[in-house]
Amino acid sequence: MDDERNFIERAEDVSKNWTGEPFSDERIVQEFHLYGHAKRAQTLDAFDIELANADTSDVKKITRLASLRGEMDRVHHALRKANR
Amino acid sequence: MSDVEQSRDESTGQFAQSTDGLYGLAREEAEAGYKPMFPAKKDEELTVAEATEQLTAQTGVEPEPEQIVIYDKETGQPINDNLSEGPVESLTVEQAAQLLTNYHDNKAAFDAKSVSDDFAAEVDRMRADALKDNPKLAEHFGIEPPADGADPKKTVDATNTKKSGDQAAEAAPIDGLDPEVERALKHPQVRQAIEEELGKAQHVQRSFSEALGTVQSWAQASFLEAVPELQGLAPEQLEQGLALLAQVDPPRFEKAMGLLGRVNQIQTAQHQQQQQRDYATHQQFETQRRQYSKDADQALGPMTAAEKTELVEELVSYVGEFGITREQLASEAQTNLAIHHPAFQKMAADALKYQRLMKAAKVVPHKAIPRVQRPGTSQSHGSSQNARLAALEAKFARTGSLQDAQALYAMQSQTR
Repeated sequence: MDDERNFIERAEDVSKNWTGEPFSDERIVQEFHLYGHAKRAQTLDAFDIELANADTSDVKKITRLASLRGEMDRVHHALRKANR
Repeated sequence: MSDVEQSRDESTGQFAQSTDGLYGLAREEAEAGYKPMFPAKKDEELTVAEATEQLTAQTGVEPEPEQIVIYDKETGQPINDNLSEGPVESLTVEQAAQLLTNYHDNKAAFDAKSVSDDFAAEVDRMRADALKDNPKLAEHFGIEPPADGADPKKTVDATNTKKSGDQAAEAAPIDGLDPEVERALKHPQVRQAIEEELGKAQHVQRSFSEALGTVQSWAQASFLEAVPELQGLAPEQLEQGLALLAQVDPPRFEKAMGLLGRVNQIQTAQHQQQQQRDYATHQQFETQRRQYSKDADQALGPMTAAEKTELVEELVSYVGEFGITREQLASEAQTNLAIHHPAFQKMAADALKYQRLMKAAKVVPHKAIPRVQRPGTSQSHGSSQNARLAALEAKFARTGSLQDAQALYAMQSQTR
């Protein structure tokens, strides 16, 4: 069965199964700091594909996804400049 | 609106309003025959002079231009810029602009690198904490696990100690200064040199913080300049405004998000600076507090831990009488060095001793008051009866006879 959840929904479901509470966007970004360079780049690539194919009728969801993608991009490049 | 005759709706006979120049909600209302009760105010366009005045008022006084010195690459000496002292090298406007751009780029890269190094150290610490309980997570995160036997915290501390003089104290053990460092600090020239370096480091940190604040203001102004439609929106409305912009004008939305990202980056750098300053201040406080604690122990004399605890409880109770709660006293102890000063500690101990003395129950000495008989008077009846009773009791106790018992019983009955 295809997984139709978006990045945030998957992250929330996984975190709820692990910890009992869904991660907030801030927590997702914080956990993103722990990833290595290659893993972060792969995650961002997959996120971009999801964002390109996302349903644009729900503006709030799109805005949240775009905002999170921007935050993760910022973290990735800051870590890249710090050789992490 | 033109003066052309308005069209009339043949079925209702009403004049339909002109929809020239109207769009959106206003057009729909006009077509339906409505006109607004409160016409929208037209924003008057600013002239160039007025716009310049407003922008100047917003940005404030322009700071003094930064003095930039150009050095000769080969000799390392500043290049002469005074004709009276020798030949001066000339530049075209384009060359000068390129040099200035290179200077600002290098400066920004240097500042960014120092921020990056602190950021990298913080991320290393986060990763070390995450891998501490489960080292196998390194594979999931896609990072290299720490080398066996290496303490990541020592690596982070080693990185931090390279930064500035006021963080050198981190390398010392927690329970006090290294004896060698303590010996070195006793030398006045060493103390003076370290204090000078600390002062320079603090000056650099302050300058960097001020620069970050300035850049933050510029970034915010750039954002509002790029998307003036969002100016004046409340923060909770900003998301909706951006969502609308994403639909209407995606390129400008992308630009706005990029600017927001830069603003966020600067805020992160400011926050990290503030954390560093707070940490350095806390370290200084703790070092001084430990020294005061040692001096206070000497001033108050040897005390066991139980005695110290009892003293603290007495102090809490004593200051409570003046309206100071335990939490307030604890807060002061964590932030105010004066409380730990040996003089204050001695003063508090003396005050508590005085309180103990004042509260102790005073033993009133009881003196037996001698009987006083007025001159010219005989002993009272009561006192003679008591004497006879005592004599009869003594006699009965000596003889134990029935007759003495009867006499004693009769006397006791009389005195009741």
